[in-house]
Amino acid sequence: MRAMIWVAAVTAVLMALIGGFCGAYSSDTSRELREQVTQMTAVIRSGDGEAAMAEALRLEDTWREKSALLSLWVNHQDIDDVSVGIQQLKVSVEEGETYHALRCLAELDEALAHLYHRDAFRLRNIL
Amino acid sequence: MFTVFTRTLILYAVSVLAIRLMGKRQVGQLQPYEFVLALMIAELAAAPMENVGTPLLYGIVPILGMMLLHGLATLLSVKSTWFRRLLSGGPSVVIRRGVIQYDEMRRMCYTTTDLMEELRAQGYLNVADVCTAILETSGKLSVFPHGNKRPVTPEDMGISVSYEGIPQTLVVDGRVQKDHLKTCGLTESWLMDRLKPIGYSDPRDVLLASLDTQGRLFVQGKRDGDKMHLLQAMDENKVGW
Repeated sequence: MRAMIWVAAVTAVLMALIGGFCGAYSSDTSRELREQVTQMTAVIRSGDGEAAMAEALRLEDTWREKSALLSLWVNHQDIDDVSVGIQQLKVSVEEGETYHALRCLAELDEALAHLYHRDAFRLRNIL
Repeated sequence: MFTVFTRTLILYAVSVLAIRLMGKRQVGQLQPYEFVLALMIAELAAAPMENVGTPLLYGIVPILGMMLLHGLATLLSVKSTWFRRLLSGGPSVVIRRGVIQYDEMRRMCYTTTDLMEELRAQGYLNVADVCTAILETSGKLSVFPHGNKRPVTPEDMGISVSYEGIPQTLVVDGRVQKDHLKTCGLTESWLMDRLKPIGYSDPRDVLLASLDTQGRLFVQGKRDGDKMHLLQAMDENKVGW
């Protein structure tokens, strides 16, 4: 009986810790990268190609740093969508295709929002 | 992750309800909530296993959730009779004083064919021999014959019988069970003193050696053609387990 209480208590704490940590990490990563996407959109609109490339590389570095841990609980397809989006963005910036780069940024923003939205503790997701 | 957990909670509750509504025939040996747990854990574990694109935590977290729910359900079942009845239902008497309780059987979705099948499985060919039959919450049927149809017991015959406890296995597959020897208050040298005279100088040659509460030692060797030896190894009155 005592063992059962312990198992239930430890599992409850573990669940709360895993849930809390995963949720917070996904949300922070999503927010941080989306802020970078917003900044980059402004840079691209200003027409500064070099600054845009620097922003793209910074975005890539941040993503590499964060995605290793995210893949433990985020659907791997969602991770791949962001990785592919960043690569497409880099190519567009390199080629100086402003319209295509802005389209890539919009898609990337959506993919980054999706990282957290799919797991967010909302009635819509539960149902 | 809270979403996954909440979905697990909802699915668990729905599955338990569905199994409870299906009736006891579907359940077999497990309690309804344990049956659901077994089914769901297998499925939850299988999904991330076959799809590497799904993070492992998607399998682990719901299983942890199931563990938590099962722990809580078990604890509440122990503490509350009402909750136990809600979760597992109660036993149903399907034969009372030799009369089949048709209404109760219908309520349980238990057919006459099911009843006859279970009675035969329990060794009763004739339903007229049965006084009471209870359909347990595990789905198992407990059958009690009429007084004049039950087997004769030593008490009926006025015979006194000695204590029959759990026999202790002292050697299993060539390995001496030191814990069991300790339980019996015996030593390895005591065991070897009994094994040597019947041709076993090494316990590794013994497949099984078991000491019962009458002090009898059963020994079966591993070698081809070895017979089962039965010897009075100790005084019955000295048995203390």
